[in-house]
Amino acid sequence: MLLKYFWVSCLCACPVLLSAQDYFQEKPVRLEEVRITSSRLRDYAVGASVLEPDSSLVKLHQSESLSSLLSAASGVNLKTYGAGGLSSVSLRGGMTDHTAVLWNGLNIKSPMNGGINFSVLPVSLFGNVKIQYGGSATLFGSGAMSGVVHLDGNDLPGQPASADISATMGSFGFGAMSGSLKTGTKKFGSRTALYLQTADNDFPYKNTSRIGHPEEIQTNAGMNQLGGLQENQWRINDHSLLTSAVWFQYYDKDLQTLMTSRQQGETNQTDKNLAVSLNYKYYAASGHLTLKQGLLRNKVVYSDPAMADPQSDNNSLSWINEAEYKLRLGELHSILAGVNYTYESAESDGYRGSVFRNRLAAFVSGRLGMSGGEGALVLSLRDEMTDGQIHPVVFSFGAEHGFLNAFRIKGNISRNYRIPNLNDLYWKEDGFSAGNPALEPESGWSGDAGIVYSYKGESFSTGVSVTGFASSTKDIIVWLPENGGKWTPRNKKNGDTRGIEANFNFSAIANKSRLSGRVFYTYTSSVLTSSDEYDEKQMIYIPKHQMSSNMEFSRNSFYSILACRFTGERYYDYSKTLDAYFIMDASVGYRFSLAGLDADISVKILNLTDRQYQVVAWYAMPPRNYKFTLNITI
Amino acid sequence: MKRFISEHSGNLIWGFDALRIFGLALFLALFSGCEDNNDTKVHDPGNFADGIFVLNEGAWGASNSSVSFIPADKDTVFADLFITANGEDAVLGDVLMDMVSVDTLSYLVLNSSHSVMVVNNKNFEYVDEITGEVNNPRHAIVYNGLIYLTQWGKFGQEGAVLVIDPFDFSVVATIATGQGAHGIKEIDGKIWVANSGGYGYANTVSIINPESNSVERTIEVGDCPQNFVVDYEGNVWVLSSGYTEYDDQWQVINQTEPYLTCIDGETYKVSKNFQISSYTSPTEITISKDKKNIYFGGGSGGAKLWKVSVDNDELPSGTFSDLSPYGISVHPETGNLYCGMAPDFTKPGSVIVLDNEGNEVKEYNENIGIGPRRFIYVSQ
Repeated sequence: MLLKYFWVSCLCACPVLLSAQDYFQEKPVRLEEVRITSSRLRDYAVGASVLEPDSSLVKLHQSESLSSLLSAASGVNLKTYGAGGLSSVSLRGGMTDHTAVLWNGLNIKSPMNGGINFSVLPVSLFGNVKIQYGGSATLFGSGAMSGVVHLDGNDLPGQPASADISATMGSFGFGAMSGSLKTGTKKFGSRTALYLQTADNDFPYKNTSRIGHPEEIQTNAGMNQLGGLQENQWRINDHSLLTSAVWFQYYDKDLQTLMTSRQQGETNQTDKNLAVSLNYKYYAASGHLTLKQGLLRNKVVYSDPAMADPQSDNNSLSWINEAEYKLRLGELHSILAGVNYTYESAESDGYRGSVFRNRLAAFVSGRLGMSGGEGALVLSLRDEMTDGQIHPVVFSFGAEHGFLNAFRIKGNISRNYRIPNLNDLYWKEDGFSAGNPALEPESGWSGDAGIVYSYKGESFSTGVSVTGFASSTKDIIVWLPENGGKWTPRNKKNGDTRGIEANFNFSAIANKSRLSGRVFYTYTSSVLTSSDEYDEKQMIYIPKHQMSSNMEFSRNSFYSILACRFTGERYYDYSKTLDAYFIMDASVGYRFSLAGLDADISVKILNLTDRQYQVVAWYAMPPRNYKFTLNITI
Repeated sequence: MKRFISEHSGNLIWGFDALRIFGLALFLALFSGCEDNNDTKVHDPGNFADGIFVLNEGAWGASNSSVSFIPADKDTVFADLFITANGEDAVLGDVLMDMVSVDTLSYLVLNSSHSVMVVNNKNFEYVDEITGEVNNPRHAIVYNGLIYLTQWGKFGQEGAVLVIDPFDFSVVATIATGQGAHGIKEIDGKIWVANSGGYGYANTVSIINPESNSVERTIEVGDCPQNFVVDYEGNVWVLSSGYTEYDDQWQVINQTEPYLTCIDGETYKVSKNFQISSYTSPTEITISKDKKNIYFGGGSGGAKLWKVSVDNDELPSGTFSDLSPYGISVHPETGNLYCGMAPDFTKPGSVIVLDNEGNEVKEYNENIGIGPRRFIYVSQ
């Protein structure tokens, strides 16, 4: 039976295809669309790989964090400190601070440490998650050296009013509730979403740090989270659009006891985040103007009763302003130019008083359509100035072209940079560490080239793509002890990364049945050049081999999902490695009508084979666990 | 008679049956000694009868501490004795700070694991792990057949010495001393403990009467005392690293000077007190073979090395060596100074051996682990 679907399998979203249909033709006025980032991503990421986690994966991780969703997504390497713990993303063998994270077009990474914790970002909040791989993301600014994770909402005006509520219960004290209310008219749309989540994470695990690997119960790993998002989109007139969003959240996490500690940990971290964005778009006959404003406020309090000063209070504020104009030149070509001013300030126990900096950037992109829309070339330039210091101009050049109606070749080359974060520069000098105000930005080159085959029929589609990538980064900032043992950051190492991504996906529909799936494999060789034991060795926590796959089968109101991921062996110091692991997650669900309302009930089994594994050394990960979700939509 | 000797005093701490060692040596000579071709690690645990155990702290949180062994008669260093004996997936623990032995067992003090790992000292095979009341342990000695272990305890708790039965692994007494109990030494039938301040501040040395397991005397010294040596006249020298005080904003509001304090071993009176302000928070102290010269410096603050005669009335102005070792120790037979070098905590360190003039005699680069700090000597 299944073979029937396989042989007719065909393409859906290959990495590049997501936005492909729009690369080659300029649409006059796109007032229907209200999302802010999508235009730049769609029109100017020519030649780059952009992938959206499959809907089956989003469904599987709907009540969880982006950390769990992205760990199952293609080619994404997550470094996760235990269940619900700090989780950061690296792409294509880059470091975790080489991937930017944009929410409604605003870079929401902390100016203090250049990081963001994906465990605090709930999947239910973002209607659109996209991963842009490689250095083509340089147009989005500092830190986007190996890619960007884009988080956006959905278009609201003209959508029917609706309300949905979802409740999930699971193993080890997991409980989550979320609800959203969408109202509006053709000209105005509003959505309010709230969510709550709690977990004890008191799961059993085999303590591999002890002889005989005895089973123990995880301690001090619970968490509580609540938050909300309120967004409005208003078409003021035929030419103007105004959008706003306010997002707040509170995350209270006990930091998981390391399995090597025979005493229960007592550390805790609370994150309070507030993000506000306000955007205005004006559509003229020959293009459109976008004005963006964003305010990000983060407070992280780390407490450890075992420290002399048991609390460490870290506060940061970013105020982002951006203006860009896109000028259409006929049906195939366009130019986009803009400026960005960002003010960043931070106050921390780690600094002497508060610190701040002003960042000014200008960027321009030109797109040349070819062969009547069959192909396109894009050249982007960006220059940034920090507190009066001008950084070198960076650029990205991308090209792609279709042939034989089913194939497309694409490629991209870029020069990238990352300015030091505030901790690198301004960490106060004490007995053990000192920031280094003289640090230079990291800079490098990256490039990729690939070929995509796609076929789309009436009831089936398939896609195959292969991409090779390489990058070279110099002056990588590392903290090392020197000058009397103090840890100080220096522009010390150079990194070289090479790899291959291969994707196969298919989707088939027959009668009331649908089968779709994807397999994605990444080979990454990522080495540091340095004068010590790490020289020419694979970078720590970067696996050489990584594979993810997912498959969804649905028939009538029934659906089932199976997602697998394999992560190869990784170094965690100069000689020791963590074992490779293969994890399977599965879900079955049923949609039905309940008192006239649409209901969806599902059971998820995560870590189906009950695999014991570690993502970061000595942080136990949950064994097989279950989740039951009921979702009702009005 | 084979003896294990503690690094600081050179006193004989314990010993055991030479026949067992001979047997082990024969066994090892016959059945091991193969070299892994993939790297330079030598997996032969070697002959522990004559040589030096190097305790490598490892990086905090990574649980990659290890024990290396430098045999007296070979140039090869044996790496990772615990893994060699217990398998590639065996884990010694997090931040190894000390090791003592009783009879056929060795006890490894693991600070961040909050445990004491017990191994068979013939072959380093795992025997047991002492946990429970062990919390933030630092150093240990063996006296009168019992293990005396200093520990900081949890924040808010007073530092303490746990008295542990070496055979049933139970804690037979807990002696509260002072904040951040750290260095420990048996001197003339009493047990001296340096209260280093731990998470905060302290400036005392506690002297424990082991008969009653109680503190019978507390002596005020410099701020944050670390450890002791005893000179040829029986005087006790205490190194205090000084205290740095921060305000709410972590601004340094007060920084006190390090001191080298001499205490008369009989009257317990302070007879000399050297302020060592320009020596940047040294934490390591050891004494020459003839017990007439003190070496101090090093530690996590990156201080250089100084040498001072116990008969001097002032400190020298010049350094003994510009190395900034993480740990130092004098070889009880050769009198050479062993320096554990920890360039950082992400890669292996090395051991540099200096003669008593400060000239480099030897360097061991291979098979030393991350953060070498303590040396335990084993004689024939």
